[in-house]
Amino acid sequence: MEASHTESTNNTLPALPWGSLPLTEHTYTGYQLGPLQLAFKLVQDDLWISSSYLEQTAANSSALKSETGWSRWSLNKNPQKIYLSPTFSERAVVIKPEHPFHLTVGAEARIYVRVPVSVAVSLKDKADPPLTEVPTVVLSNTWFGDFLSGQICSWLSSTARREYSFNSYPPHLAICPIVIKNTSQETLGVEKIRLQVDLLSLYKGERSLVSSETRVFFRGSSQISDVQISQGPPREASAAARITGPRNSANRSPRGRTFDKFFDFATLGIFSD
Amino acid sequence: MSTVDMGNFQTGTLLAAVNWAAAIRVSLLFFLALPLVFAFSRWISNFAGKKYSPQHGMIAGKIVCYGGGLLILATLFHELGFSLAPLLGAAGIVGVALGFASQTSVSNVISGIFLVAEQPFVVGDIIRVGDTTGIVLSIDMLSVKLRQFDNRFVRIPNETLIKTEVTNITYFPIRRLDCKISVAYKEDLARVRAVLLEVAYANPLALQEPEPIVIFDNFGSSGIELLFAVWVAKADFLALKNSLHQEIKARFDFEEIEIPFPHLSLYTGLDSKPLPVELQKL
Repeated sequence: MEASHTESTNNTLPALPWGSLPLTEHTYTGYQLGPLQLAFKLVQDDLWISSSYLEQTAANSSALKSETGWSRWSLNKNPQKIYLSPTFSERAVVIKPEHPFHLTVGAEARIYVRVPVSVAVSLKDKADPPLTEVPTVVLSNTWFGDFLSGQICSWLSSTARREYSFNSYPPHLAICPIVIKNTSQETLGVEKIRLQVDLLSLYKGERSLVSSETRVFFRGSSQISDVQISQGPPREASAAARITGPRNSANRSPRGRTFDKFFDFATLGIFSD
Repeated sequence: MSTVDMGNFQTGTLLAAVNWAAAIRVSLLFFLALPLVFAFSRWISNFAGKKYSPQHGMIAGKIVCYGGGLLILATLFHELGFSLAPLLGAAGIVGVALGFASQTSVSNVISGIFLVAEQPFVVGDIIRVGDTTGIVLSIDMLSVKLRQFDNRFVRIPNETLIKTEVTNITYFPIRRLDCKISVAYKEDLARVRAVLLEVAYANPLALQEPEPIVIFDNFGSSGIELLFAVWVAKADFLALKNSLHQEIKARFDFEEIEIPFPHLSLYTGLDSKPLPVELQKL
């Protein structure tokens, strides 16, 4: 299968459905989720999966399509269907609010950030691990730590809204509520937030995907912040059904895990001024 | 033991002279114990390599192999009836002679111990020693072995490594890629800077933090020289180096930002007068 070159296209594909997707042999079926275009083809016992990304140009409304990447899977037997589910990436996401803010002593702020999800393709429902995971948006790398040690994370710029409502609800973005409480005796300047998305569950809300709520308690710049992940959906989507569980479960509280290994760092790192 | 009559050889006497128990012990030592030691040293090397690091595994395996081998050898000698006492005595005299002859080797061994203890690099790191750059294959008693990128094998004595400057390119998890870029004097530096930063931010391999920077370096002879520094995870260094330079070139072409060729202007003495050229028909 030849890779397509960068081309301009106005064609839109049907929206990617979550759940089971029936496959017909020798039929190419393509779907779109945000900028991601995903296609499947079944040839005998081989499952072909292609992915490409649309980039909106500022000059015109047509989108430039990146080169199509193909992956091929030789399966045990011809599957009748595959299962598509949203998932967060393994890496933590460093979120940079467009407008940094400060929390005074005792103050609490509830913000909402939207994080792109990945599409997990499986042969069985809720299979672990899935066949493959394709990110809907390729985020840039960033470094969380110092020059001597740290962790590679994904970088995301966000408005970090205080209201739950948005102008639009792209299906590839999951709304992640974050509550930050300043329990220390100093002012907290929030320039960047490291969100450990692998600990979050995903729920299907009314208008978009939502994640578990993350609560962080800032205890001072010389101490590690306490982080708690809610067990159910956030209050804004209390009736939402869970689609995907957390990738990693915290066996103990995140604070306890920070004493085990540096890279087993489950707390929310907040960079202050 | 019965005296053997050389003139009248008797098989029975010869057989009686053989100490069967010792022979069995020697056989067991040679055919069983020695292979067991080698197998155990390989196992310990794998185990320590997986649990700690390949370097620790290598060292542990060699300690078991050499230590076990020497022990078995000493026991073999003892079983064969050789007394080690005279050997040790002679070793003292030989040792002095060997000491003078093997100063360098001993120095390498001692240096190797310090290298292992200090750990300026481990197996798998990329190091530069003088003009030699390569991947560390092993840290042995006398030397360190490198594999260069063109698959050449380099052996560097440990003493050399202790005495000279060693650069470990992969010691830290992130590295800075420095791109030296020259632009024509006519270019708007603010625009060039903005373009370069856009290219960096658009490349997913380039780390958003630490942030990429553009530093004015020099008023060069052919153009303004800039240093464009971008941070990257060490595993992505080569991929970023290739992709970033390609993207910079493509973007400069699109923005019509000139990368000047080295050029030289010749003057005859008066700035305003061109250099006179006369063509003659031969």
